[in-house]
Amino acid sequence: MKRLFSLLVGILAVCALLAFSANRLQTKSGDSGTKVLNLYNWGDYIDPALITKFEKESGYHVNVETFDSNEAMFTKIKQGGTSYDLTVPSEYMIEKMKAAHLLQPLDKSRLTGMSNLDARFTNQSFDRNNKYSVPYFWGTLGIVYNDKFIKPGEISHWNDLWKSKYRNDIMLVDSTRDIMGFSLVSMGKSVNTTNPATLRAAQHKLDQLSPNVKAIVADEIKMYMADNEAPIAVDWSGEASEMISNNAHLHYVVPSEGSNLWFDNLVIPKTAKHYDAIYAFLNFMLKPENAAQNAEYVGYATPNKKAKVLLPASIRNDKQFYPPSSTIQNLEVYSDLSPKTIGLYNDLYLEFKMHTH
Amino acid sequence: MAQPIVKLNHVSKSYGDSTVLKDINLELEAGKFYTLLGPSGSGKTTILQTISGFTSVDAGDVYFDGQRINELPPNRRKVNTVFQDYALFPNMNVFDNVAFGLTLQNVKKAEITRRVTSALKSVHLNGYGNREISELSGGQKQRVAIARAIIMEPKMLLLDEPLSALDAKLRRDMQYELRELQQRLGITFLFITHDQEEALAMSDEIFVMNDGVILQSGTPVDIYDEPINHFVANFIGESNILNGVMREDYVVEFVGKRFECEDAGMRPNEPVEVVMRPEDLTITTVENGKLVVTIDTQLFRGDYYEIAATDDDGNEWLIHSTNSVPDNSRVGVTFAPNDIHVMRFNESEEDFDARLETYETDD
Amino acid sequence: MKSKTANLFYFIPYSLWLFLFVVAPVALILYNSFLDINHHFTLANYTTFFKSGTYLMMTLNSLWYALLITLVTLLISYPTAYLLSHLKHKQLWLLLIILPTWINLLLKAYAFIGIFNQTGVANQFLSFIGVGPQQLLFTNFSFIFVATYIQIPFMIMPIFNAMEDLNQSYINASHDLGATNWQTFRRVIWPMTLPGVKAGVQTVFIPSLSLFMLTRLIGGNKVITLGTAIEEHFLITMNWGMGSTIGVVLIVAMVIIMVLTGDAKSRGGFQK
Repeated sequence: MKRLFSLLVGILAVCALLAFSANRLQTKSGDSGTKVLNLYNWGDYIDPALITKFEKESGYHVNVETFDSNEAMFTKIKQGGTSYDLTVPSEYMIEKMKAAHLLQPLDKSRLTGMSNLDARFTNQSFDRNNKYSVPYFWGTLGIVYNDKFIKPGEISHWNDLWKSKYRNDIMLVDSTRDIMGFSLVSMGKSVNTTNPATLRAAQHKLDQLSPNVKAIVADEIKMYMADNEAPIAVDWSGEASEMISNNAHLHYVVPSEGSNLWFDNLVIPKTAKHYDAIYAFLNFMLKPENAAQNAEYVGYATPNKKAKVLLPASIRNDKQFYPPSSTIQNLEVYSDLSPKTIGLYNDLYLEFKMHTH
Repeated sequence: MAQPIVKLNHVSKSYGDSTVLKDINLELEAGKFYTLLGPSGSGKTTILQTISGFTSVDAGDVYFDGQRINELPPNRRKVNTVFQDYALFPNMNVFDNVAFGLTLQNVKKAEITRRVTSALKSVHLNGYGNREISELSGGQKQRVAIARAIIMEPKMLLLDEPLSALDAKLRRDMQYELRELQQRLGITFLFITHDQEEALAMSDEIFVMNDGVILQSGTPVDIYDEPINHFVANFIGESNILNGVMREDYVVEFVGKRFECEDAGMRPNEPVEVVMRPEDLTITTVENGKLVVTIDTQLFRGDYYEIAATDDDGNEWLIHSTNSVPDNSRVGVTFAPNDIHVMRFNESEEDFDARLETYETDD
Repeated sequence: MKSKTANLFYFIPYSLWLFLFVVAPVALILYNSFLDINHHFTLANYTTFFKSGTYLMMTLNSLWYALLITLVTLLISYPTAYLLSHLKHKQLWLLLIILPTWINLLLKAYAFIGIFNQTGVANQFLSFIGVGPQQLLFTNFSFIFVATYIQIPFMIMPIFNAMEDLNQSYINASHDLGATNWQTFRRVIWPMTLPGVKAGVQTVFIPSLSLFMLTRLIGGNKVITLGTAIEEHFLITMNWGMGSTIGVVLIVAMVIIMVLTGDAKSRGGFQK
């Protein structure tokens, strides 16, 4: 009986310990110290030197935690139990978080430097008047090609991908909205089409592309393209810039007829606590020199027009990542579609994948 | 002598550094019950496996029925084995186990059924065909294993310590049964055991082995009465073994006294060992005793008392007596000249046989 | 009395575990599968699944690939396990075979990308022997090859154990009774190692039904299984109901496999 008792005590002790450490862990990811900023960001999406600089200038300590998908971030914020002060959702996720009442409006009186931003990238459909979000980076969806196999200029439009000579040559990024989206654009439709018949037609058109599709992959696409595994890929501009830095034969094209324009914006989630730190950080990041340094490090396009001027000419004038206004005006931002439509997009996309043999 | 059914000619076998068979010569006649007797590791199972084919020999020849079979695979040899652990296939019932060998040949179903039934009958297991192996007792498994082997109508049956897993009572019953089965079938049995009692009870002829060598072969009586050396004497039954000196033919000296014996053919004053079986020693009065001993302890063994005693020189004696003797009493021990068996050191079986020949014909 | 309470007590951790990590999740999946995207009770997920050619095709696809992977794995593992059980330092060899399971699946997949890509070792070899570089990645071949590679240890283990239980004397007995090597294999070795084979088939087939990491990394999403669909429904569409429904279908498929291969214990139960 004695042994039984000690066993019981042991188990209770373990349970208590677990509960305690779980509790510790929770408070840890939202340290209640006041001189702190909890940043919830994509992996490798800020120059670490800037964090050090901010900490030195402001005296706030920055805790960075990372996520790898908008959905994962959404789930974690929605569940609560965290105290993230700032996070960086993409545009459609901003809409979704807004609808789920997970965002706090910005106090514009405490923001300085909003005017540094390029007007083409503010006041977007997903966040009118930038009530909730400060643009951080923007980019496009486009076509990467390798000049070892493809002559420059040979591919400039979405429809070029369907040419039969590119049999088994194309890698697609595994993303429903983007793949369905470029098919829609190639048909002259909006990336936010909700009409089921149009969507089905877009899927049928994708089915025609099947013989040319080599693979539908995710992050690995960067590695493959850098290794000359495939001549052509459809991917985002940020990914493309990374590939190009690893393989000079690669080039990125945004078809002039249109494509997706995406944003990653800084927002204040419901879980935020350290408002002084938040605004200090937002203002810090809006400063042209800091935004420029960050853009150089991350390799994505900055929405900060004053920062852009500070970038080296080779970056600033790169039509691949800062396309001309004539192209930009044709770009569309994804809107947060109804769950039903998203379901349809996904079913059609799955069907397309099924047909890619 | 008729052609032997099995003949091993200068057979040797080693595994790595250890030699398990050293130049073995052996002949088995058809229709007899042979036993290989020896402690574990003596090489008896290896001999069996050279005959069944599971072991290839390093040197020498194996003949079966006059044919050299060194290279013949086990499945084509006309011998069958009853394994120590029975090796009954657990995925088959009794019937299928027994029928196994026949189903491999093109035997008709009705014929198989008939023969399985008869084989099971001969091991007293009628009606057990549908039992699963896991439902059988040790003795029943043993019988199934035998039935599975004899259904093949082999010329020779090899039995690898088949009774070692059974309890004493069952063992005794199976000894009778095996002996009876062998006589009924009339085929050669080669039986392996480390149990001397079992060997003595069942065999026509015994081969005593140790360290990869056959030390002595002969009928149970020969081996019991005239062991060739200390090892055999000790291994076969209980014995009193003493150092002695052969003074002259028919006179041996031990425990400081000279005794008349029936052994001869040795050098005068040759050091020897003397064997006396406990049951050959008779307790008598001190005056009539050839030796005088003090009784230490005794154990009642059912049909006799096993008495431990010490003589005045400190030698220990084991005596079997039908009557009890009080502890610590002094008694005389007597024996006849033919109860003394003299063994020379390092005498080969050949020399031993030859020497026996010289003086036994004198009688 | 005392021992009874003690037994009951020792049962608590296990039943807690069972409840928290087996019963509750399965119940949750089942519950979720009856919810639509707005959390209303519905049977629509199931009607969608069974009326949709896509999902049914995907199910067939999953079954087909799982079957292929299992079959290839078995064909390689059985002789290997047999050989292994006859080797001198078998525990060491076994360890070497198990070793790759200590490496993360993703790492192994990436390693294979390096081997199979246009400039990889495999293609260098093909060029060397004069065949010239071939498209190896994103083919059914490479998918099944890698999946097989990953599953092999899980097939070898139970078969190896069955082989170890298979006493040499059974094989000797079979030969002794006149069986050839083939007859011995068919009549003795195979039936007696069948429980191991069944266990191996279960541990390989069931996870193979829902491989999704490899379908993308190695198969380039040219191989689509139900796992892909589940991943998409949970992570992208956030239609947990539909994802759960597919999960339930998979669980049912697994139960069917278990039942089909599960009579292993009832007969030929080995006693050592």
